Amino acid sequence: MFDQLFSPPGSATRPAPPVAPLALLLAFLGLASILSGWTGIGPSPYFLNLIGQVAAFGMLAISLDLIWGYAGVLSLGHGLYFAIGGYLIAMHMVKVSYLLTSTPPDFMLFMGWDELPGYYAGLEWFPYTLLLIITISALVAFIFGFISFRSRVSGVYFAIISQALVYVAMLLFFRNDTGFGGNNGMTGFTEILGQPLGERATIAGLTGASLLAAAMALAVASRVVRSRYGHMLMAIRDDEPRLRFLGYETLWLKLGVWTLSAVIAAIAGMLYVPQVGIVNPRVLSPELSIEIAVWVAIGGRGTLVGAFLGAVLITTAKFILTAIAPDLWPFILSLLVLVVVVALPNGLFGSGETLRTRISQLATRRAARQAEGART
Amino acid sequence: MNSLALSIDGLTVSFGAFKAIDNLSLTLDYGEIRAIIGPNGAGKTTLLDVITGKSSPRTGRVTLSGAGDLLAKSEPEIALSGVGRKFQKPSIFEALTVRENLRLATRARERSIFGEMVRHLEEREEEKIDSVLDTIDMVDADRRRAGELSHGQKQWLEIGMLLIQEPKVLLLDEPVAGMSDDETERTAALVKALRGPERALVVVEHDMSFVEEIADLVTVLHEGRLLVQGDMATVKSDPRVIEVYLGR
Repeated sequence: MFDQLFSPPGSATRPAPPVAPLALLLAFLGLASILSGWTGIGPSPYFLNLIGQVAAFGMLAISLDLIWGYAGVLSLGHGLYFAIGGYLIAMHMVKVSYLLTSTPPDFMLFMGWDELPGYYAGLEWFPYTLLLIITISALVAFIFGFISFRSRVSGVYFAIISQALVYVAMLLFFRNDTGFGGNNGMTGFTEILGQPLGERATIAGLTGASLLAAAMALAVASRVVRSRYGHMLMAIRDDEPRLRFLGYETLWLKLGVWTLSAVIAAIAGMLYVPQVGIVNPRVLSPELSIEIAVWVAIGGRGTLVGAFLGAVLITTAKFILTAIAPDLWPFILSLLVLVVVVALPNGLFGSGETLRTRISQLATRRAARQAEGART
Repeated sequence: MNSLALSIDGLTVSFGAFKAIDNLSLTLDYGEIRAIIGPNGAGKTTLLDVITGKSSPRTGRVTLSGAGDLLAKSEPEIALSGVGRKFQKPSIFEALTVRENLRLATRARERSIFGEMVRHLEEREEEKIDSVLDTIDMVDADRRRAGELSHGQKQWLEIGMLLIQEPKVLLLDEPVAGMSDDETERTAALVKALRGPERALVVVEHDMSFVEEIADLVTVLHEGRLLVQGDMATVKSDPRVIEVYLGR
């Protein structure tokens, strides 16, 4: 039963949907959103903000698809890397407003701290924050990946350990004395890169940045998976020992894509947090990490496009349905997961040929039955 | 006249108290096709595991000509120094096409990930793939997904991937298991065609008529020790072999 989670998606005979049109569309929408921010013409800030958040989730799904759909490594703890990006950008915004007001945020005042702890040093500088986001997410992923992959931990075991790691991080971030806001998290951000967060132009800018980043993540991921390196990743998914016995040290191949995936997830988190205006340990809860896997499974593993659209579909449905019928949402989501696992193992956007093959199989069987009937 | 390809010296492999291989010494020469047979549990697959780096022995040495001691190397390093292994169950990359599978086998040395990302195969390498496709008789199938191939074709594709690497020692673990008679016959022809002055072939097999058809020399293992070695006729008439196969 678990095999299905790691085996190549379905027959894998169908070519993946092309990535370029979606990447171009996202880039276009991103530029349009920035333009809409400058001119003041276009959709409401609320709507723009929603699009921006969904784009960040889409990017997160791409990061998971890269390792799960292609290298066959299922992470149920990708929220960790998303949170690294989210917390660091929140620290950046906290530091900036501290320098403006000389008052530490409430959560620190409650602890009796009248200044920011030392590790906030330099975080008012955005390029440094970005550098930290990339290096810390890459480093955490590298260390965790190195230990796991070197010990040949894979499949369900890797998924469980990755989930345990995100859970440990959540417990750590629930503590109030870490300087990360404890269970309430960090909120009340006022500005980013000198732009007030409440203004439409800033909102549109963040949305544009998220769309452009998602387009870029798609382009980079698609370049990776179509290269020779991408073939090696699929080879690892299909039969890792065979690849090792052909002379490839798969440890480094897996670590490379694993680290890349973590960095993409962290950048998605960096874009997400300023848009929702809060970060708290809930981004580290196993639920979010599992949900990412659900987006990818529903959209279609190993297609990139499917993963992105899966995230868009499910998060949009969640926005709408949790407003209309919050009690029903878990049931609807579970039902969708069941339908996908049983009927569409390739996901919604990767199922074209499977459905067609199924129909033709049925037709052949029927014809055979009729022929049988005619003979007797 | 024949030169030594691989030598195994005083090898002992144990799992707990159980000795899977017990003080075994063997040599393989270039140009030969060697069959290794023996009842279940004789240590045949364990032997292949040790040669390819999958298991570590308690004592002993495994030396490949020109590459030194194999036991100090990792699985990929052993593969790159010239030992190819075909697994018992067809092991290929199902999502990739036949040609893409063969392209992945064109690894001759370590390369960085970025190097692999921008690497395009040289014309020489594509030509080699064409010639291997011809050898395994799959020229028409080169664009097909490996997952769609028949059982026999998958086995041949895997052998083809190993051929691309031009191994000095090629180990085939039950290559005809599960094959139809016709496929077995074609595999026998293929294995015989693979014989070469710069290669030693080892076939682990249960199918005795297949072994008889291809092997120059047959090594019989029993309980981790070498029981008898000789040509098929000698081995078949040896009372000890008859005893371990048929029991008392």
